Amino acid sequence: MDEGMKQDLERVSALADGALHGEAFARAVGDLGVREDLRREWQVVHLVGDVLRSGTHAPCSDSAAFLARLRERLAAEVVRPGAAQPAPGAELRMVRAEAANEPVFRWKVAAGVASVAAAAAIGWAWMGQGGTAPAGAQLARSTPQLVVPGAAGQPPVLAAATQGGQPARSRVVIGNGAPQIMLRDPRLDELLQAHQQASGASNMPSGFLRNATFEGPSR
Amino acid sequence: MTASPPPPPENDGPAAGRSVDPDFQLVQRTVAGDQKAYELLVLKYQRRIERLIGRMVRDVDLVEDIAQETFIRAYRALHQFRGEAQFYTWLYRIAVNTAKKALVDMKRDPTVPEAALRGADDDDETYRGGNEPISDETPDSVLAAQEIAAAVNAAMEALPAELRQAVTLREIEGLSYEEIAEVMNCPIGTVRSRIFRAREAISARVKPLLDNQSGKRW
Repeated sequence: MDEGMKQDLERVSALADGALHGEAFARAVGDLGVREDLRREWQVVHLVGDVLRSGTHAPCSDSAAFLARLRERLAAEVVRPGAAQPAPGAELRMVRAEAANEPVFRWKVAAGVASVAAAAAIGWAWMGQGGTAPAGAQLARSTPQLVVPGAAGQPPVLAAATQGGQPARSRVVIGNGAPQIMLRDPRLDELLQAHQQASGASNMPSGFLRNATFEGPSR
Repeated sequence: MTASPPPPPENDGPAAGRSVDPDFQLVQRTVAGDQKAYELLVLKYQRRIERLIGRMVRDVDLVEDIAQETFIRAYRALHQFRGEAQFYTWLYRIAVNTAKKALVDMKRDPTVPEAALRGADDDDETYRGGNEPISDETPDSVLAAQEIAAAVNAAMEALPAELRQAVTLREIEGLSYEEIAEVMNCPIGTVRSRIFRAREAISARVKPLLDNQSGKRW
């Protein structure tokens, strides 16, 4: 083995131990990248280390084929923007970010996004209803409406009363505002009274009328 | 006239003599855009990652596929590696998560035989499932692996004491060159030389066995 080759192998050994720096480190990595014999030496150095530490040897798949396949896949990888070559001597600043091996569950992100989307959808629907309260209070809070008498032969029309865009105070007007008279059939009153007597009901008002007839109590 | 001073030794950079985490060096180099540096990490850890995955999945083709996916995922996330933990620890978690995901996907696939799957909880590095061969392991390959391990151990025994001590402190105890120099009371350059000579001697015994292995399965 010539002296140059011996120095190369010693550099591989030193590289494996982290004893090369700066230009020497870069040159050694570059040489290993292009020289198969040095890459093989690199593997043997680590194989020996593994055997010494574990006491056993575990073979792996064909490293050359494995690496060739990996290169193809790495070639398809997009180069990260931050992966530019730094200035010589400049130290890289490692971005403090979540490590890839931390127990990150992507579904948590998806669930968070879904929750925000759901909240936005509910809010949008709520805004679309003018910010009104739920259905139970809608009648009480609805815009007052005005009964506009229809034309001849036409039913009255309900219209929202507004003043300058704001809901106006108003009341329901029926029958052109004239006092309303409840028309009751006296025969109906008699009937109701007779029914109470016939059924022996007490003088307490009945809450519910089950039967009604025009025939008199003589029946 | 005085003689010119001897040429300085090869400069190993501004931090020459100081050992740093070699994996983190390579990660930084990769993030800086040098894919060759990542390939060195792949070659270094392929065996351990495949062994780890092999404890979870029996089918050797699946083991290789999952190992590929592991290294691809690690490459994508490499800029997030902060160097706070060992690179292998970081890679180990990616491999386990990748294998578990693959197992879940395969369990949904009725075409995958049950025998190809193992429990996804066997991801403990200390789990000694190595006695259970994966599908393409043969008695010959098992024997060859045992021979390689025996050759390494025999070569270690045959080393001169100072070389054996240096490589033991480095590989097994994990000391840096500075620490080894302090322990062995010698210059750092001597430590580097001793470790290299020890590896060279072991490699000389191991390489013929590796060359004999079919399919270059190291």
